[in-house]
Amino acid sequence: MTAANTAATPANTTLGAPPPARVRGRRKAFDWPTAAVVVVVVAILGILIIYPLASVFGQALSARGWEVVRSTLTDPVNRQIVVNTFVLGAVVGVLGTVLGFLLAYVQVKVAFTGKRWFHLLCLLPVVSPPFAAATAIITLIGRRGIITHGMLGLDTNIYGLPGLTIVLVMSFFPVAYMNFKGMLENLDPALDDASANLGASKWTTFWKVTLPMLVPGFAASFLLLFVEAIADLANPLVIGGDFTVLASRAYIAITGEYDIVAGSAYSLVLLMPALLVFVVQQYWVGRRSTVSVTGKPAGQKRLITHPSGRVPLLAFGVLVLSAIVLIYLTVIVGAFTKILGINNEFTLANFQYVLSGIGNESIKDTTLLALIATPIAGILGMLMAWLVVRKVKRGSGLLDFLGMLGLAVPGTVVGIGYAIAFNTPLRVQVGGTTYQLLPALGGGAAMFGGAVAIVMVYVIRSLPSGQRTGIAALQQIDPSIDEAAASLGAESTTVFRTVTLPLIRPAFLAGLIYAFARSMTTLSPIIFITTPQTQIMTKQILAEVDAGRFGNAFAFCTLLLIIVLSVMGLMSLLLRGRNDVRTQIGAGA
Amino acid sequence: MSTTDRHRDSGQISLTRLVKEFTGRDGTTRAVDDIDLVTEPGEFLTLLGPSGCGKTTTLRMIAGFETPTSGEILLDGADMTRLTPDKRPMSMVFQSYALFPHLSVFDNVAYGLKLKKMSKAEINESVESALASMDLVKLANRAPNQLSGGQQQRVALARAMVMRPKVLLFDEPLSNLDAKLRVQMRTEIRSLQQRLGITALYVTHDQDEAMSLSDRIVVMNRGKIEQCGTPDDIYRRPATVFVADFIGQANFLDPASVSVVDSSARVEVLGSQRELPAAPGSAEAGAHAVLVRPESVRVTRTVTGEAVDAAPGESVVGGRGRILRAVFYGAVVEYEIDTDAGTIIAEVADPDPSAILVEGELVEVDFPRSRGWLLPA
Repeated sequence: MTAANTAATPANTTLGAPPPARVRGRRKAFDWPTAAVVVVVVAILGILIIYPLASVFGQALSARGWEVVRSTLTDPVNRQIVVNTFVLGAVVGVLGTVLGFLLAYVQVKVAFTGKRWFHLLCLLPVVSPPFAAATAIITLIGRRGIITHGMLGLDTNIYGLPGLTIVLVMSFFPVAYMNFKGMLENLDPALDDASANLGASKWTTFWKVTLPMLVPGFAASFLLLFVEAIADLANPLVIGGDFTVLASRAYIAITGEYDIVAGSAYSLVLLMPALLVFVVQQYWVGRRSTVSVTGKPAGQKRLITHPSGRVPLLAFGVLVLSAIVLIYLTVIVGAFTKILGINNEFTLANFQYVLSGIGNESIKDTTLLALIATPIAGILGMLMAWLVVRKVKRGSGLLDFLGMLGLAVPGTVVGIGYAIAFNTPLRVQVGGTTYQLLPALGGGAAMFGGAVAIVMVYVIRSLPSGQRTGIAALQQIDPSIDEAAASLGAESTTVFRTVTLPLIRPAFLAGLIYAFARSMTTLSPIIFITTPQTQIMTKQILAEVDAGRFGNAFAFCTLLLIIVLSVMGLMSLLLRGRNDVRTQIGAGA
Repeated sequence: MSTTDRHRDSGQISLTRLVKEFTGRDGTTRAVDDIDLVTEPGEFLTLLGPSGCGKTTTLRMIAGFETPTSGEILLDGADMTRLTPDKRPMSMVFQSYALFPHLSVFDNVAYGLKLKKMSKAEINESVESALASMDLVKLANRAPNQLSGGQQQRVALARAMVMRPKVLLFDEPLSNLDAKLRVQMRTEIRSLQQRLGITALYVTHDQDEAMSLSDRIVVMNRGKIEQCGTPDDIYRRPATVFVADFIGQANFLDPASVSVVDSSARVEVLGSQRELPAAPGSAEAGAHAVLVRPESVRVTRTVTGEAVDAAPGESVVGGRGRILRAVFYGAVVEYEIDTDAGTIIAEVADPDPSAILVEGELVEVDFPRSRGWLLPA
C-alpha cells in the first residue's frame, strides 16, 4: 500500500461515492470468491518467491554488487567461471537429451519383456538423494576407484568436467526420458505405415519421419537439462574439483567469504540465463510441438523385433541401466562397509553414527518438515492449476509463470534470496513509524529455529510439478462439468471443492508424491538457511562427504532413499482407491 | 415428479438488445447481434440455426456462462444480466451430459439439492421421485461411466429437473445419441416439460428436433434472428429465403412477373399466372422467389401430341420439364427436373412401380395454389 492509496480512500468516502457493486455500465458478472482466491495466492507467491528474488536483485544491483556482476565479463578468473557454467550446461544438455531419447526409444519401440522394471530404473535417479551418484562414482572410478584403480590399475582423475558430466547426465536424463517417452507413445503409428507404404525402409522412416517430428522434443529436453545442470550446486561441490561454476562460486562467496553482496551478484549472473532458457523452453519451444497429443493413435503399434535393431538397442539400454544399478548398489553396499574399496569389512558403525545424535535429529526434522510442506505444495499447486486453466482469463500466463518460478530459478539463488530476505524481520517505515510486516523466518534467531523458511523453500520448490500435473489433468476435463455444477447452484469455490478437486485427485496424488521426494532430496536452497536448531539430512550428507567419511554419507543416502520410497508407497496406498467411483475423465459414453 | 402447473405463471425470459462480441486475434466478431426476444411462461422455445449463428452463445448468456457485451436479460422482470450462474434459477442440460464422473447417479441428482441445504429426508424424497420419473431407480448407485449414452442423458435431465428451475436450458442435448434414441428422448423431454409446465429454451441445429419439440422456433443466422414463429409458420410461411432454405428442402422458382397487394400476389411462374400468398415485405422487395416444397410438386408424364388436361378450378397450365435424375428412396421417389424456372426437386410419395419416370422423359410440372409462397429474394 502506498501513501497515495491511503490518501485516496478518505477522499472517496467524504464525497459519498455510490457503492461499487451497483455501478451501472460495469458489464462484467464479477466473481468475488475467485478474485479473493487470486489475491491470496498471489500474496503467498509474493512472499515465497518474489520477495526473496527482489532481495537478491537489491544486493546485486548495489554499487559493489554491480562491480562483481561486471567482473564476470572483464576479470579472466570470473569469466572462466561463466564459461565453465555454460560449457557444463551445454555438454550435459546434449548428452542427457541423447541418453534420454535412446532409453525412451528402447522402452517404447523395442520388443522386450520387463518394460515396467526398465521404466522404474530409468526413474530411480529422480528420487535419489544428491551426492549419492557423485560419491558412488568417485568410489567406483575416481583416483582410487574400485574399477579404474583396483581392477584396471589406472590412475584417473575424474574431478572436474568429466566427473561432473557423468554425474549430472546420470542424475538428470530421466527428465528427457519422460519427455520423449510421452512423445513417442503419442506418435501415430499410421505415419510409420504410410511411410512404409510409400516405399521407405524402417531406417529411412526413422530419419525422415520420426526424428523430424521429435525436433521440438529435443529442443525442450536440451533446454530443461541445461537449466538443471547450471543450477546444480551439490555435485560441483563434491566432484567439481577446480572446475568452478557460478553456483559453487556463489556458495563459496556466502559461506566462505561471508560476502552476501558478491554471492547475490553471482546469483544474478546465474539467474539470467536460467530464466531466459526457461522462458524460451516453456513458452516458445513448448508450443511448437508437431506431435498431436490429443488425437488417438490409430493403427497397430509395431515394435522392433528384428535382431539388427533390437540387439544393439537393448544392449545399450541394459548397459545404461546396469550403470544405474551399480551406482545405487555401491551406495547401499558402501553403507554397510568400513571404507568401500579399501577396507571392505562389513560394519553397522555407519548407521550407528548416523542414527545417533545430529544424524538422528536431522532425519526427524527433515521428514517432519517435508511432511508439513507436501500437502501445502500439493493444494497450492492444484489451486494454481485451477485458476490458470479455468478461472483467470486475462493474465493466466503470468500467474502460471509466477508458480513456475520455483523451478525456473536455480536453487542456489532461491537459497541466497531466502537468507537475505528472511533472516531478519521485514520492516516497513511509513512516515517515521516502523511496522513489522513479517518476523524473521529463517536463521538461528528465528522462531522454530528457522524451520518456517525451510518449509517455505520446500513448498516453492515443489509447487511447479504439482501445478503442471494439475494443469494437464484439468485440460482433460470437459469444462461443461464445471458449468453444470455452477448451473446447479455451486459458486466457484464450491465447484473447486466438490468437483474439480475430486476429479484431479490422481494428479494431486502424483503432485504430492513428487513434492515429498523433492523436498527430502533438495539441497541447494536449504544449504543457505539451515540452522544449528534445524538439521537437514542433505546438509549432513554434504558435511560427511566434505570430511571424507563416505561410509556415513552412504548410510545417510540409503536411509533417505528408504524414507522417500516408503512414504511414497504409503501415500499412494492411503490416497488411492478409497470409496472410488472410478474416475472417468471427460464425459460422454 | 409430483408438482404440476407450478410454473405456469412464471419463467418468462426477456432479452433486450442483447449483444455479445468476442475479441480474438483477427479483431472483434459479433456472435450475437442485437437480439430481442420474449418467451411465454411455460413455453417450449427452440433456437435453431447453423453452427456459428449465435444460438449457443445466446443460451450461455442466459445461463450466465457468458457475459453480454451489452443488453439485458430479465427473468420474470428481475435483472439477471450480471448474476453468476449459480444465482440464477435455471438449470442446464449439456450436450456432453456433463455428469460428475466421481459421483454416483444418485449423488449427481442430489448435488444441487445438497447445495440448497435441504434436509436429508427431503433430498432423498426429491431424488427418488426424480429417478423414478426418468426410470433410473435401478441405476441409482452406478457411476456415470457405467451407463449408456441414453441413460446418461436421463440422469442429466433428472439432475436439472429436480432443482425445480424456473427455466430449463438445453444445449443440443441429443446430438450425441443415435438416431432411434434421439427420437425417443425427444418425446420424453417434451412430455416431461409439458407435465411440469417449466419454460424450456432449447438449442439445436437439427430441424426435426426443433419441429417436433417446440411451441415456437427462433431461426438464427449470423447473430441475428431471422424469424420467430410456430413450426407451421417457419415451414410454410418462412420470412426469408434463408429460413426457407434452412428448414426442409426448398425449390425457389424464378417468377417472370410479380405484383403484390398486401399479403397476396399475382405471379407468373411455370408458364401460367397464379394467385399466391406472400411473405410480409414482399411488396417492397425488388426481387422475388416462389417457394415450393418438393412434396408439393406434381409431376405428370407428358403425352406427346395431346393437350394437357386441366382440372377445372385448380391453377392449371403447368410448365414443362425434362427429368434430369430419378432416385428411388423406397418411401419416395425424388426427381430432379429441368424447367424454364430453374431446376426443380420433386418428391413423389408411395410411388406406383409402373409409373416411375426415367431420366430424359418429358413431364408437366405443377403445384397447388395454396402450396406456393412468395418471398423477397
